[in-house]
Amino acid sequence: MTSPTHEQIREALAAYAADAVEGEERVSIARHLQDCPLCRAEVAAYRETLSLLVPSSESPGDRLWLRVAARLEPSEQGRSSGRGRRRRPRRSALALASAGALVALAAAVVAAFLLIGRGGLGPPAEVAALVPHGHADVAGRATLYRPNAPDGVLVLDLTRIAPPPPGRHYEVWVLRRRSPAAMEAVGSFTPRGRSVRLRLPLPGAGRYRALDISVQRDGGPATHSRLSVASARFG
Amino acid sequence: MAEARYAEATDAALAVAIARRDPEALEEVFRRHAGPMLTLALRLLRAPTLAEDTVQEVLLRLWSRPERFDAGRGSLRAFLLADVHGRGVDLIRANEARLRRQLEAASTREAVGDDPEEEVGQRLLGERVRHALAVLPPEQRAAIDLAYFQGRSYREVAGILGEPEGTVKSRIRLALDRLRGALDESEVGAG
Repeated sequence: MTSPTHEQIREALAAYAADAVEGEERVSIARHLQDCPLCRAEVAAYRETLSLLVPSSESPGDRLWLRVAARLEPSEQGRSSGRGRRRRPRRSALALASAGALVALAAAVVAAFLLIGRGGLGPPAEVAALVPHGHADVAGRATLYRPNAPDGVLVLDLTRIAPPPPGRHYEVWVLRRRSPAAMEAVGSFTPRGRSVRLRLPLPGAGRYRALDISVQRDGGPATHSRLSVASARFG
Repeated sequence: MAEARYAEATDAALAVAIARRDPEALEEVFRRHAGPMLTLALRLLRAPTLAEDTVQEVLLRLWSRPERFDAGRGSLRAFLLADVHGRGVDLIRANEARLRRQLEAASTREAVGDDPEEEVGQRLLGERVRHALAVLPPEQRAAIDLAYFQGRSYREVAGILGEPEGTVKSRIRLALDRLRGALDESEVGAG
């Protein structure tokens, strides 16, 4: 097969820019573009035109951003950083929050980071594996100690969890049978590594049905965001 | 916060910030461009989950290889949409039989329908885009719709329209040349 001439390639550049050229012809054009700045500029100009034909009629919203941000691995975030340290998450455009709420959140985060041993907890009453939701990269288990006592404890062993997106944190929720509230928040956390162990006081005696981990905006409302990354079912 | 820090940032500045691994810069890119990216992916793939996966993949590719974007060669919007389109077309062609069956009934009939001017215009949406497309003869609009918005090769377009391949290739070029002029005149902004 003879190579296409420059004019033949120029005639196909618009179709090439629209990904409408296949096979060997596409390879030939790609090869030509490596050595021909004029044709490269032509393809770029066609792509600009094509991009203007695309309206913005879809609103991706928070959920898709959270999916993207959850995949920004810490190693990648630090890889090219001049200071060589991980950035502290900031409030994002999607997470405008009041200062007062942030103070309350900080207190909750501190309360949640009670690293534990197992001493004094007694035998576990129930153990449930965490089930990740969607594309969330979460694994681990939840254990209830003395759930029928007023000083019951939930131990959350997360063997794998990604850092939350900037401006977000994780919140742990539990659901009790016969509880008037649908979900009760028991603690917040922002993992500093890939694994986390938390000891969280249960909100009261009862029969616990489920646990849920959500992504919440820093300083956002104290209700479940409905952005759940994992859950576990007891009993 | 991202809105304040990068709201006025140029494409080149965003790319530099992304290369420094600043997630807020990527969030600004998302805020500006994820809408049209998702619109295009949905238009091509007709499956919300697949479309979102494609947008996510393209944004993560920008995050991991920001040097692929050269602000001297074009806008970030065009770069990202070209990536979305390329990935979408790859998916269509890799799953040709299954995806085509899903798309076939609606898209082919619409593309060569009785009134392509109205049908194509309605589906592309956007007042200024509709005005720009109005400068095109129906056969050029049909070629653009089939090739770009349905991810078909010019050979497939030729088969659908019953025209010679060379004619279709020329129509795509003529259509884009005319659109470029029309859109430049109306100073269509990105967004």
